[in-house]
Amino acid sequence: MVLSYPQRRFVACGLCLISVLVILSGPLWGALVWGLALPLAASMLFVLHFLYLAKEPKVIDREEADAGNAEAAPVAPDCLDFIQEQISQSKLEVSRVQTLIQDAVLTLVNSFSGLSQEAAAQLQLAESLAKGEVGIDSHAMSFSTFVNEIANAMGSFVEKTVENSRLAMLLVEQMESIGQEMQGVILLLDEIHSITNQTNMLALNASIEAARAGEAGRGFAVVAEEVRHLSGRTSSFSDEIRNLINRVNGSVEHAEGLINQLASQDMMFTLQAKQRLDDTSSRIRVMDAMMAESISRLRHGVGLLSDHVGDAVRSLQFQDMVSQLIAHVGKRLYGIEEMMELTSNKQQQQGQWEVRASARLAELQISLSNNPVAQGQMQSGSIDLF
Amino acid sequence: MPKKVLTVDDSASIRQMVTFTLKSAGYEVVEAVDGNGGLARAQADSFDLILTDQNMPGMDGLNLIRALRKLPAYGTTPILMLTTESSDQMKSLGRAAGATGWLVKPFDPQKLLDVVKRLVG
Repeated sequence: MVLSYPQRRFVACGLCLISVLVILSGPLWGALVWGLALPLAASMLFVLHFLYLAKEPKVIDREEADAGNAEAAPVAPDCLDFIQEQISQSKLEVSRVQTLIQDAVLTLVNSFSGLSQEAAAQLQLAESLAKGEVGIDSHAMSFSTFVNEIANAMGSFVEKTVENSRLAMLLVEQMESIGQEMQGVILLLDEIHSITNQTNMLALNASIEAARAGEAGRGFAVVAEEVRHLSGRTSSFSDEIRNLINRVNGSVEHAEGLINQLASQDMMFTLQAKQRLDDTSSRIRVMDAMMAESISRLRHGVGLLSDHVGDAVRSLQFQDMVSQLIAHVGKRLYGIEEMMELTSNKQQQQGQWEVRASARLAELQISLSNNPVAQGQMQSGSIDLF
Repeated sequence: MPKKVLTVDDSASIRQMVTFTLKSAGYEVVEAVDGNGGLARAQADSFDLILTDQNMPGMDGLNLIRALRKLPAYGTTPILMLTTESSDQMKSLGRAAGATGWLVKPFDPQKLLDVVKRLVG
């Protein structure tokens, strides 16, 4: 279907209007893609339209020449100027589009880079916190390590306390044994006391017998008195020893009670402290496990974020590809502009313009045949190592 | 001592992406905006690996590789072409010029990193 000039102008203006609306209202990606494609399509339509329009007067020219009328159509030079002006404007606008996209993409790359680096820094900080590496000096240790150290120290302390209690119980037994030995001594003192009484009685009887013997028994009476005196002193010493032993026995019993009390109190306190520490250690182990789980999830999240940033980095390379495509389209516009200039009436009036135009056309066809961007999608490109 | 990489590309965003990708992995990255600038930076400093685009104003990637290979310091240095050009003819030209590898844009950051690690560690 061949459109008339007003129809083509209407379509081109419509495309330009739609592209402006898309740029103003659409999402970023749609705006970038459609905002590029539609103005380019509109520009190309304008160019094609005027090329087509420029040819018509020439046909008319030939018909008129054949008819013997050498008068040139007045519309062609104006159209050529208009086309050249439009092409110049298109190049400027394409350049602005490239600048806009590049600025936007640079900002986006910066944002994604910052996002990725911030996430990695947060993960590192979380891991450091979990390991307890955030200390003021090199001697800083983790809380779990600290609790383990305390638990170990407490374990050693409990062992020592249990050992001390065992020794205290042995000491108590030894004291009980001493008490029993003391009772044996007291029994022996009772025996001594009994012997002393008997000795005293014998000495008394000997004194009576000595008195009955008269002068012959005087010496014997002195001996008997000394024996009675010795018996009394023995009894006195025996009583003093008994009193001393009773006091020692009381002291031993008191010490025994104190040691017993001390051993039981130490043991109870230590066991209670150990139980509390064990409970705390259990809770800290649970907290450690939860923290490890959280860190693991955070690490997984950062990994996913890194993958997404990688996808974004790959996708944002569309700017480089689109930029090269636009530059290639620009080269095509330059080519069209140049060929229009070469085929203008002014050039045709100079000698051998057809030869020059053909040579330049061949050069342009070769230079424009290689499109630098063959990719049609944004998946990762191939890698060849030679 | 981090490995040093020179990235040559006329696109600021591509240079930025390459720099971000390699710096994140601990490489030191220096940028140049075209072939002439890349050659000057390479001569002024020493690099463990060079990444270059093909289509650049002034000296293009293939001519940059040819010029670098003539320098004794870059006789065996890995030089990777990172470009939108993907034809077999261009790859053959790159291989003949002395390129170590040919990576077609868009590049995947992780794959680029894998290749760089494989070549320079």
